[in-house]
Amino acid sequence: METIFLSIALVFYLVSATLRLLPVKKQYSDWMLLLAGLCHLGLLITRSVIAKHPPFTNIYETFLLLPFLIFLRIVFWPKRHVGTYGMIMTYISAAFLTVALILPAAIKIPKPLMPALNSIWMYIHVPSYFFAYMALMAAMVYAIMVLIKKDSDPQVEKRLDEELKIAFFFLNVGLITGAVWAYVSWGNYWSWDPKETWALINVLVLSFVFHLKMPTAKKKAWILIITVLTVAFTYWGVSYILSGLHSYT
Amino acid sequence: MIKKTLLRSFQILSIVLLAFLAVSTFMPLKEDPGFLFLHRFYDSPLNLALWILLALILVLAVLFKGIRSTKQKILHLSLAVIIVLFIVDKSQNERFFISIHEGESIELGEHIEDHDKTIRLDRFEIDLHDDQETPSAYRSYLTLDSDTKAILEVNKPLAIGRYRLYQSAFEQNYYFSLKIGNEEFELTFGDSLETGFGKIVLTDYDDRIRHFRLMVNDKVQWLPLNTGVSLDDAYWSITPLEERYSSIIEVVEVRGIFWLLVAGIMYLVFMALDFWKPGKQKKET
Repeated sequence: METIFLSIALVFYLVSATLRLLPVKKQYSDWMLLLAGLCHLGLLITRSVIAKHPPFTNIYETFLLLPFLIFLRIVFWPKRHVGTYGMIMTYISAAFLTVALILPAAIKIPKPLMPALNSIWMYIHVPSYFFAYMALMAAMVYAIMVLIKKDSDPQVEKRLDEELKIAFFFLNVGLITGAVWAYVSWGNYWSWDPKETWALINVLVLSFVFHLKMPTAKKKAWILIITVLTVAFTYWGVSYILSGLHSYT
Repeated sequence: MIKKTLLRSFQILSIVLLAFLAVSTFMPLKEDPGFLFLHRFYDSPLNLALWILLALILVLAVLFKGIRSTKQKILHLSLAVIIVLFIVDKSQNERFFISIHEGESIELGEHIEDHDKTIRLDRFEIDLHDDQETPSAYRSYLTLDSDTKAILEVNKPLAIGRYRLYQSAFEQNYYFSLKIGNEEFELTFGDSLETGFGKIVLTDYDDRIRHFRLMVNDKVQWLPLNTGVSLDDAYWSITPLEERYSSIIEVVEVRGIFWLLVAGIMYLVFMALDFWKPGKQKKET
């Protein structure tokens, strides 16, 4: 059931994004996007019912959740974004679902929550980071637009700033709620665990965007790209290369 | 001029911190902190000094008009407060572990001067998920001062004055009854007993030969499971009793933690206000 929902959602996302490239009415693409979102919602509900917890406790589940947040962003804030943004973001959603589809079956097996994860703070801390990742994805699209265009586009630059603020804010919310959760769970809000340290590194790197002597869109775009790399390392690299208190993620 | 200097100082300091933090996560933890404290950077005076310097820059930026917006001033001061309280907490507040066997008590006063409290572990429980393998909860049923019942669980700490108790870990202990002649002793692995036959330590059990390994007056002696043997003119036998848990509880002093939380909330609130107040003119720091 889960794989069926996943496959259908993926096909609809791809069709929706591709229709944007073709000389057809925009509504066809929008309808396909909506159908993709509904299947995606069905997928997340099915997964949550099977796993008996929300879908953000392992790599596979996060590959399902992140594109859904991107979908919500495209649907609920369509006028805030410019140009081909919606199409690119839809392709990114499809890319995430493709990876989720081809991940080894062993990674997809739902596992019950450990006692430490059984906390209300998981529902605040983890989604905070996902909102940040969603904003980083959006900012990445604008950053690439800024870097490849020779002339400055104030609208794109404004959107880049907006996404950077959202990303920075939610990275901080994630960091602080994580500290509160660790305090409630272990009595230690900060343990210098590799995941914690890299989460702090992400915030420090992105803070440069707001502390530039001569802020330009290109400088911000480069800082954003470095942040995306450090966030990607925090998310995957730390989990697989460095061991620590967050080894279960 | 001051603004530019502070901004440059922040940038340099952040890059140095970033480099040290990132590299140190790849270094194995060692007693000897090694070159530039990289093997134990988190505990090092260098880490401490860099964070103090960062807090100082944040305060100076506010004092010397490096930042003009009130929201940004509060945001930066909150961050400086977080850093200072973090340093104070890590250096001043006590933190230690206690281990209590089921059915036994410990006096908290033995560890903390002004907290005379008895903690008894009545029972330790592990709940399992439906798969019957993964634990869903670790729970210590405690009696405080012989009259107050309390349950300590992961994610549900207990407050005792300025201390909090946290369910940290557990141990599963196997207890045995050792009979030597007419005398009977209860012991677990590692226990050392002073008996009329000398010092006895239960060290190991070999499942292949189903024999226990004991050190009797520093000499190895093997005893079969559930079957007695005659040694030194006495009849020796060892039989398993029930398994018992020990709960490992972390005791943490929490002075200043409330203010750390307040500073954290202020930092986030003023960041949100600075970022998204409608119609405002954002000024870069």
